[in-house]
Amino acid sequence: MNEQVKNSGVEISPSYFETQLVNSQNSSTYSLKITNYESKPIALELSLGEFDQTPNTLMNYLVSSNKYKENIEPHVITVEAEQTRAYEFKVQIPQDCKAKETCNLALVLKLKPTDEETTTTTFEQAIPLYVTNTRNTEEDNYSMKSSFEIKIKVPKIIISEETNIKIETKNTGDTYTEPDIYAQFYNLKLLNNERQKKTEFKNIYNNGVKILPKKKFGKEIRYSTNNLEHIEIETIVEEQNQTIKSQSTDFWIIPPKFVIYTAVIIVLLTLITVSLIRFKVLSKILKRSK
Amino acid sequence: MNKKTLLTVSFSILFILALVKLPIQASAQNMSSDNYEIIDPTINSGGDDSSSSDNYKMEFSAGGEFNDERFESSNYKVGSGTGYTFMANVPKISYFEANDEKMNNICGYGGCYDRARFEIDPQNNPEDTLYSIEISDNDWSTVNYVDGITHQIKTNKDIDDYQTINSWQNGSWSEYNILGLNSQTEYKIRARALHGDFTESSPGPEKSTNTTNTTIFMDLDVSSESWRSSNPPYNITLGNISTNSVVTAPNYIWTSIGTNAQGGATISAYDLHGGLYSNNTDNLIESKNQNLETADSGFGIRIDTSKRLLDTGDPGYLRENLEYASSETNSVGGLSSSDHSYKVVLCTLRESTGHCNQGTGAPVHLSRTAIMLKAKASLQDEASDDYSDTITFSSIGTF
Repeated sequence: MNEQVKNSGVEISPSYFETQLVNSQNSSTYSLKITNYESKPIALELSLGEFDQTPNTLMNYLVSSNKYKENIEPHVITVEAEQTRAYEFKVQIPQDCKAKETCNLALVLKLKPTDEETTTTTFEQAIPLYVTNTRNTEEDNYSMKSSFEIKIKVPKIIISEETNIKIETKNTGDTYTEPDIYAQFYNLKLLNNERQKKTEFKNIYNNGVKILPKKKFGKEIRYSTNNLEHIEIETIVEEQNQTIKSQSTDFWIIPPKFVIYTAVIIVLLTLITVSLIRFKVLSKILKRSK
Repeated sequence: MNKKTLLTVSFSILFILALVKLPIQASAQNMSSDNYEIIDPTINSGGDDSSSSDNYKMEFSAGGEFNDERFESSNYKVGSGTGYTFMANVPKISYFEANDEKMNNICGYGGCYDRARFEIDPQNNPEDTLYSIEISDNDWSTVNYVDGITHQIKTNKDIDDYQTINSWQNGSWSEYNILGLNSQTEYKIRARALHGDFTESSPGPEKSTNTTNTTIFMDLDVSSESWRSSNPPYNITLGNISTNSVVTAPNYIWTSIGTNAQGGATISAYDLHGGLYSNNTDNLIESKNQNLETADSGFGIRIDTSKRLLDTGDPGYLRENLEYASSETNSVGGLSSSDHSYKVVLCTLRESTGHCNQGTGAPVHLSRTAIMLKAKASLQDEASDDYSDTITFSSIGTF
């Protein structure tokens, strides 16, 4: 399929940028390698827009493309047929973006028909610019924060051999972050709740993808066992191997067979006790009757 | 004391002596007198120039240790002496790639820019042997380590960073197993093995790979056939729009995407007029989510899910927003021209049955799907031959 499709289309590399702006910085320069697989030259119109992330799948999508049309130079570039070329773009950082801690700008390259042409369908490719404003911390006593909220939803007592545990995380910081989120399960001593040993490790989020501020991520993980266990689940959010948040909760997991065995043992013990009492009473009666 | 116990005790004493004396070996000096010179002798653990005169120089041996550093070159190393028998075998890296066919089938179009996969050759070490992975991007001027839990790169290591081959390579880590790499960088890795206390081997031979750059590819083609390429401008005609029945454009808009964005990519759409607009009559056939079968009039797009095409070994699937792929044949999704009106139409997911509101974003090699245009007019819509709209499809990756 590759070869057939590649008779046309446009390839752009790299397909995202991260920029740290210092206080006085107004502009930034980006370099892109663009390949035109079409058999004719194409013109690409440049603009600056914004992107966001979808609520459940946390995938980037374009929100606007022409919001800061004048903030990029050049405005139009031409790529020859079946050619690859590197281009430099100068982006003037918009004022309203500079006022925020994090700004989700997107460099948009739109396929433009020539003056003689009209089109009913066209496409554009957006390159996310993850912009972070590094403010003068001495001046306003401010520093960027990475913080996370974790919610672990699991019943305290589970009578089953397995359970689903819902882990919800939210980037409550004021900057995007690329976290590693995982859960570790520990066996707790039945008497003093001391951690005994690590029983399981589960990845929750480790795809190397940025989560924008205020975005939530949730996942259900499964825990199963054949034994009666008192378990502690610890959810850890790490960023560059540093723990930025961890949260623990504990639960009892009681397999049904254990409940049945216990019930059987109790019933048997009761029967034995009752029998013994009856036997004793019977013996006494027999003795008296003699 | 029997013979066996005596042998065990003697051997233990010799072994302890060997361990104590090992550092001395490393700094052994040439043995020489007026008559001879022996270059670089480090003969054994108990070696010492304890007896000498003008004519000779002797080194005593207190044990059976033998560890001559001349038994090592850049090509080989002989692990002589009993100390080596306790050490784990030096492991090799049998596979380390970010951009071969296998990794492209994991990372998508353009290969891996931030991750790679390695596989360890245990060199006859037992199954429960632990391995640590050393990594460098500057030819070992600095040595970093792969975290045994998160598989990210870190500057120091602890015992959690020693894992079995099964932990390093299987389960959650059966595809890639090193994360957090920089794009367009050459990395070298090597492994050490550990099988019990004080048994860590020296690092094995290195293996290198290059990460790629982040890439996104997009194409549109207007055609009735799956594979036909068309050059821009991409013009598609609906023909005569009827007042009684729904009209479908005879050609499809084929949308192709390829990316190594690990969080996947979306394709959104917006249009120029918010429907089919006639300049001559100033009339708009509005675009909105609706079933045109029952609506008076309308215009929209619909994804033909039967025309979904995947590349061989594609790690993801081009899936749809359900608004644009209703089960009703003539239901369409609307487009809007107002500001901030992009609507996600397609997305690339790991799950073959997912949709754009549910699933995990994933990269794709090259996936292609067909989009149909559908319209219907009402009696109130004035006839004209200039009803038109311009639809823009926008792709963006998630990183």
